[in-house]
Amino acid sequence: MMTRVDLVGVTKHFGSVHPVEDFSLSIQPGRVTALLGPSGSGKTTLLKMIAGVLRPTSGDIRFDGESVLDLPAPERDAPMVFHNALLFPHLTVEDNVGFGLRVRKTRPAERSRRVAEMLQLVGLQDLGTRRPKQLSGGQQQRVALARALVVSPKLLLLDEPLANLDPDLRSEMRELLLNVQRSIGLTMVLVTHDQEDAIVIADQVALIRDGTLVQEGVAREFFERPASAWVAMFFGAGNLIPGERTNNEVVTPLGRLRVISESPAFGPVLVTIRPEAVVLDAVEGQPNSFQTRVIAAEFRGTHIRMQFTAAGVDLEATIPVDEAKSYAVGDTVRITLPPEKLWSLPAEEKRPLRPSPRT
Amino acid sequence: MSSSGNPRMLAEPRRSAPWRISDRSGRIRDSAWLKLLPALVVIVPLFAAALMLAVIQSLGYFPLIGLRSFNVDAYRSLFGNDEFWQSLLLSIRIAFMASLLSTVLGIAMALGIRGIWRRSRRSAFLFQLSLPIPHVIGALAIVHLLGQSGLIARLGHSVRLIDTPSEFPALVFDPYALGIVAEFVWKDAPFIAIVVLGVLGTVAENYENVAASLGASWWQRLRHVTLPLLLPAVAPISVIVFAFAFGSFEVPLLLGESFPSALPVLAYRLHTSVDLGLRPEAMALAVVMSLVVMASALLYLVLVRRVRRGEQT
Amino acid sequence: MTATQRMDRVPSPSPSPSSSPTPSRRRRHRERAGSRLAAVLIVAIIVLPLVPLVINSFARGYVFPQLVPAEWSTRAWSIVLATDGGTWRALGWSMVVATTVTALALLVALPAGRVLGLRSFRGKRVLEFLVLTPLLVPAVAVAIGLDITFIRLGLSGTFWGVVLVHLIPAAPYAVLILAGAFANYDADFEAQARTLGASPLSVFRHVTLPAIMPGLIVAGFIAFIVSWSQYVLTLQIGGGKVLTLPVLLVSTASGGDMAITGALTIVYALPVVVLLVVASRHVARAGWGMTGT
Repeated sequence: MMTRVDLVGVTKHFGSVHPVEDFSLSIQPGRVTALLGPSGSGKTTLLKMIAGVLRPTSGDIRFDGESVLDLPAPERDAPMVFHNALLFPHLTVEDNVGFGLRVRKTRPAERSRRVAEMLQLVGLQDLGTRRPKQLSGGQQQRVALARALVVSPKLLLLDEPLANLDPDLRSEMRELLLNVQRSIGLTMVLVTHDQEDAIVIADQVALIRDGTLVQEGVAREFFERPASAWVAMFFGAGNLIPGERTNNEVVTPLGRLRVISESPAFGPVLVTIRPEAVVLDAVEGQPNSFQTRVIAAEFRGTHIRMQFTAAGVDLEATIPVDEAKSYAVGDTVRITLPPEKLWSLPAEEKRPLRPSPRT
Repeated sequence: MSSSGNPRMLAEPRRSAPWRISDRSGRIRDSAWLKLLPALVVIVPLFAAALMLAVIQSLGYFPLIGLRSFNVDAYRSLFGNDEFWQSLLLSIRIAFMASLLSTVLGIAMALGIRGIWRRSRRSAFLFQLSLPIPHVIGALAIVHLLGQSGLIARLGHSVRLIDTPSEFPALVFDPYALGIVAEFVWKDAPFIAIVVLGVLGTVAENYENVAASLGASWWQRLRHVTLPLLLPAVAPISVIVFAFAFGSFEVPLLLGESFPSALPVLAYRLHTSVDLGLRPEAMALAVVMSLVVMASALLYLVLVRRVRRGEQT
Repeated sequence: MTATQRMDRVPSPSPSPSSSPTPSRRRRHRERAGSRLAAVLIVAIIVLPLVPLVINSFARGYVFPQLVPAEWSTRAWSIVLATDGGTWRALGWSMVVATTVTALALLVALPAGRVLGLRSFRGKRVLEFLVLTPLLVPAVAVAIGLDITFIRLGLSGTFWGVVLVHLIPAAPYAVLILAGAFANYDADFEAQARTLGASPLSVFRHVTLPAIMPGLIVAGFIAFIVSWSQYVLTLQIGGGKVLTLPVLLVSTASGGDMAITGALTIVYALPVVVLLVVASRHVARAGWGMTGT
């Protein structure tokens, strides 16, 4: 149940296509790890290599310290759950769930018992005799989960399990996954392109771009301490201020900004701050405060997204609805960037920054 | 078939009678049937005419030789003809064996060639070679390959298995129609294999991956996942193979015994016989053959519908 | 340089993969070799039946038990390819008939395939059956049924008579393949073009045609092959005047000269192989025959 997975320098080449390049990661036992990344970043390829369905071109994959490279998929005990459930259409729900037990030659009586138990766990105990095409998407997904869990696996691998579900079903499914994982203490590896899924479910997030690991850690770190401008933008940090840093000061077009973060970037940097951390209407005398002009104020339901400009730099802030009510486009406003909320990033970013996918 | 919760059918809007050419304001409608007209004009009259003429003439209306009444004499004499029953049995047996063997071998071939199919264009090309080759060539090829003085027989001689051609088993012009079935299998097994490869490549692979990650071995995956997924897609094609083999003329002509002949050969013989009185019987035989094949076509459509509905999850 | 990756350096207790192959790696090598062998065998079996015919055409007195001909000769070929022989005329007949059938079949099948593939309407299923049946019904039955009437109409023994009967199996095939091509086609492209001001002819030429071109090629290829392969229909309706290659070939085969039969077979088969090469890029992808329905 609590298996540790280590990916060591895993690379996969399909001819001239290199979906995964020198990927190394330690997946903690008994935790949920999310492989997060945009489409085509190689995360599903990685998952399939962990499952044993694909073979790495080079590198090693280890379960509890032992290499599983030569262990074929049926023996790895790491079932996969796909976003389109892939329930065997010719079998009933019960037979689907019992499939893994059947191929392990479990006795029919034992099999029925465990199948019933699993169906109970996912809340589908009355649907055993139905066929997959009679079930809704959410129900199919739960059957797929039951099918994977019934074999008491070492490791559970999920490929975008929430992608096909409607929003209300998604939170239900998320809860189910969390409950199951906590009660069994299963090691779960989840592939997703949706930040919210990763943040809510995962204990550990690994951000992947073009087949390489970009940053890895708990969800908060991606917001407060992004490793690069790309990571910052991926998580919706729209504020990137160019400047030159020496010690705890950064010279920017907006003036000298005080920084107290321990970020390792010096010299030419990009200073970033979360839109939520920008403070409006500060009293004079605060560090890092200056006058700006409002260029946009959009109502977003739960908050107002405001954009300001000063000295050629555009800044973005999310402001609670009441606070922002008095400001209109064209107004002058004093904003403050609290030094402890600033994080500096290395300025050289060879690849063009793409806009982040917002949830 | 009534809508049984099939979402696609429920969503179809009610349409006005499709044969109306102009709509309420008098403009020419973009009518479906209008577009189909050329095709229908070409296919239907010719084909329907062929069938109807066969039916009429089989019922005794044959002015050419002075028969003008409608009766079922032709059918009575056909069904009373012992040769007819033997030929019918032979044709059904040939078609059934051709269909069965093509299906089994086709699936086996597809599984065997699966890896190379996508990687090597040359192998893929060679694999399809038998499909467009006319049956006449196929039949002659089989004679030269499986005949008693054919290539295989000569190979048998070179390894000292046989001395004379007559020692080689009769695979062509034989009562079991082995050569005939071999020709159909040679042409149709790759055809079925290609259909199977299509399903394998798209649908089956994902399910097989899931099954593998759940612990199923190669054999278990084949038995419990791959084959059940393949068979519904292959079944209608097997029916098509049956229908084609049943109605084939040139293959039994070139590879078969003269008695009993396959049904199409018998029909032709009756039709070209100097005894014009046999013509209505030939027509009746044509009608019977067509009915068997039309029943197969219906079966095909039923099976295909089941596949289509099964895919809509 | 991106930020350093936070990675737990794992001291691996197990040794790195040894240089000698583990048992399962050996097994994988064996599996891959096995599947390649299977593929070679399969392809060989398919090509094999054609081999004796080819050998025969270049051999003289190639009787049992010779495997490799004792005597090679181009006699058969010089006879078959003789300008005053029947081969060229038969080749001409087959070519012209098949080309005409293909053109007519495509012309007719384009609108029909479009309707079947794109729309759903009442009676569609009846239509599918109507289109499928002429394909399947034995050619003998059609030949027998139409024989007298065609004689009466003066179509028997004529080029157009033969073309018409060849259309009976060829057109439905083309309809089915094009229906399959249209089923994967999005008609919204046409609406898009029309809103941009294109005329219907323009839309057809620049939007529809390119999109269904693979389907057209396959349908044309199949229609050609269907006509090229017809035997009994041509035999009966051609009345001995329209002498296509298959008709000539069967009568030659019954003549007993295996070398000439072999050579003529190759002449008959060659255009098919050439067309397969040309069309095979599209054929393998679009699938054979009715897989599109």
